[in-house]
Amino acid sequence: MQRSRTVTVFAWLLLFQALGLSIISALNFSSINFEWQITHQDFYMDLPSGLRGWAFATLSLLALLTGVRFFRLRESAWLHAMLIQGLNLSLAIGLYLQQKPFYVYPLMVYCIFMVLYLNYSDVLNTFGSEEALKEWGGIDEP
Amino acid sequence: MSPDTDVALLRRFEPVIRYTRGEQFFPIDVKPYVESSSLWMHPPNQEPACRVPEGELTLEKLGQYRCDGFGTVYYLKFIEPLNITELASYRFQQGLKKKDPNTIFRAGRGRLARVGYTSRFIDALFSLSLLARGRVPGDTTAAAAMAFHRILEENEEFCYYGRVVELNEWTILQYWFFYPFNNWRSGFYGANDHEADWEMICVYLSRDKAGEFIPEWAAFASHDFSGDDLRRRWDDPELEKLGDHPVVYAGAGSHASYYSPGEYLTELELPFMSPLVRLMDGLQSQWRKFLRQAQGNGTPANNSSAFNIFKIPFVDYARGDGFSIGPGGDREWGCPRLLNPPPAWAVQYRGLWGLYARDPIAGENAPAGPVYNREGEVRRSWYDPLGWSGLDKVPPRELAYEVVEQRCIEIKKNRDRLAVTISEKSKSLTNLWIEAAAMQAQPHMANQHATHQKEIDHLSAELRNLRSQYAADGSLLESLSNYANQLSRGDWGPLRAHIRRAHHPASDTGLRLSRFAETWAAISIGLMMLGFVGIIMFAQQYLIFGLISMLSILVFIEAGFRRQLTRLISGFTIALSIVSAIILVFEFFWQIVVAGVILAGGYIIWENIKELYT
Repeated sequence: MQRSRTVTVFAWLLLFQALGLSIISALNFSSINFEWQITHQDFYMDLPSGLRGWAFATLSLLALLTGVRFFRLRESAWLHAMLIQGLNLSLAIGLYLQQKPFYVYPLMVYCIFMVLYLNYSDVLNTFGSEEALKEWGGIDEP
Repeated sequence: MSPDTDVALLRRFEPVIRYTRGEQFFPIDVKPYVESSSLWMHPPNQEPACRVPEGELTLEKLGQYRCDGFGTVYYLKFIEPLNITELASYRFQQGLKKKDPNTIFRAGRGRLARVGYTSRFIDALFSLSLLARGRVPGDTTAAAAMAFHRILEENEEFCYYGRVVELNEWTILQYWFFYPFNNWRSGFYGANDHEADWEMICVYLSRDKAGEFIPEWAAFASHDFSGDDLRRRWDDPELEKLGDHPVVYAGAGSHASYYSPGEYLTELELPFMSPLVRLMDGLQSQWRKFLRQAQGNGTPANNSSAFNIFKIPFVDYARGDGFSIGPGGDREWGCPRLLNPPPAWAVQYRGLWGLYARDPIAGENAPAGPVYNREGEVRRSWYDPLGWSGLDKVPPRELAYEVVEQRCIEIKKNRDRLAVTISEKSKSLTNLWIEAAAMQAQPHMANQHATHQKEIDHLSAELRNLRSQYAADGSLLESLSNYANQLSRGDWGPLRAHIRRAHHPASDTGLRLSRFAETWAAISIGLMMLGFVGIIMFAQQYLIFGLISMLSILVFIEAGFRRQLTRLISGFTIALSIVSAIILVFEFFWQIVVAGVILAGGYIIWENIKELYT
């Protein structure tokens, strides 16, 4: 399987996304009040920040691994990339409904761009996702 | 042609029909059916009234002229539903009969296991709607089966109605089959039940130089298909034949005709769902076009979607593993009943051939006869059997070469005429230009010069069109010449180029599910509804969270069974992208507009500067 320029660009974009997610993760970790054990209220206020931090850190790691899989043209990379965008978007929409932190908007824009890119024919064809196309009615049965 | 010749011709190409195990009704003569029926009239906004009671109706009486105002529906009533004692007695007798396991229908993978939740939900609504709209009562099948067996006991003959039509150098053989009952819904989990069923197939013949008939095409009437998609070339391997007899695989209960054995997924579109169906088709088409998804295999993005969730899928079982009628089958056809000239019962009686269930979707209403549709208008397959299968544009093989040659001669003549016109007009144009050039810079000739200039422009445009036409005709002539060579070699072109959407039996590849998965498909919608009620009753404070969790679990289980996790994840992510895009537009509408204008302005500046320096 030959790696096209489109796929290489996408792999770099995933690595860039991993970097962005790790920054968001760091931001969340930095907002934790480490004296939260002192008051009961602080516990409930700050625990979500910690959870968000871990969630973004995990997503960052997954994006990094998927980026590598894209470079190595692993077949499952496409599905993993789509799954990561779905999880990112779920998290972004969830945060938008609660606290609207500033980073949810760039995250949404980036993920939408990545979803469109993933569904572009060049990327789809490289990863043999004809099955996905058939399911959506894009390829006529012989 | 004489009736004997017609019968001989019909006999020569009569089909073999292969049914699915468990089929209960087969084609018979209409006479005993009509004589066992009563004739009813249903005027608009009035109760139906019996016009001719059972036992008094004959084909002659049926063919009498009737006129009872707009909106009046005439219909036959073949059977009265059984009372509970008769039904119990029938079931008991059937239970006592030792049935050959080879004649029992087994559905196998249910239709619901082949489709998703939305379709199942709409299907549940459709089933519930049967309670509100009219339908054929459930025990009617048993009564119809009893009546059908009584008819067969008197005369066990299976027959078809034949019609021979000569049209545009074609000889068309129409085979009409009359079934006393369609039990697709009650017998085979299909869309509808109705009394009486008329089905038809056509065989298209041409004559060779010696005047011998040559079969060229066959067309089978089928659900969801029309025009070119209905017909197959005689040498198409999909059209199975026993000698000169085409093989028809009849849908179980529905009696629709198919070329290959298998289970066909047919889609019923409810009228009120049509806008949603079109919207879904449009969205899918735009998505594919925008992302150029169909480029991979060279198939252009088209508007026909492979599957639409707002259509209700039903399986038409045309397995061909049961009884067969026709040459080489379990039973031979009886003597064909001729429809030329059409008998009075076919032409004069425009009503329905069975119970009028007052179903607005019309699926449960009986069909009309071979000549008319349910609205009393003449069927296209009757008045235009060539156009019905898209064959009105195709010449018979023997004539094709002549047609091509004739067309070549016409085009050559036209080209010669065009060449003369072009030469004349070209001379006129040159003359005009010379005159205009001579008038140049002479003030007193200004008006004349302007008129000349207009004429020059007009003539130039005309000449351009004529030359373009001349060139196009030249290309066409070349193509026709190549096609004539191809025909003279006996090459009739690709077998299936005319088919836009072919009948394909549903594939089981990748869908071999366990019994548990099938059971899941059958109970999932019911479970979802029970779960919904449970959450409302016992955990109302967690309604939204509970519903989302329940739906997610159900969808995930389903996708796992169907090996469609890729589709699920992809669809889910795309849906989230759409929601996110809406949020972004909502939050930053003006910023997006300003950014768009800035980007467009920048792009225009960049393009113009590039042009300056290249």
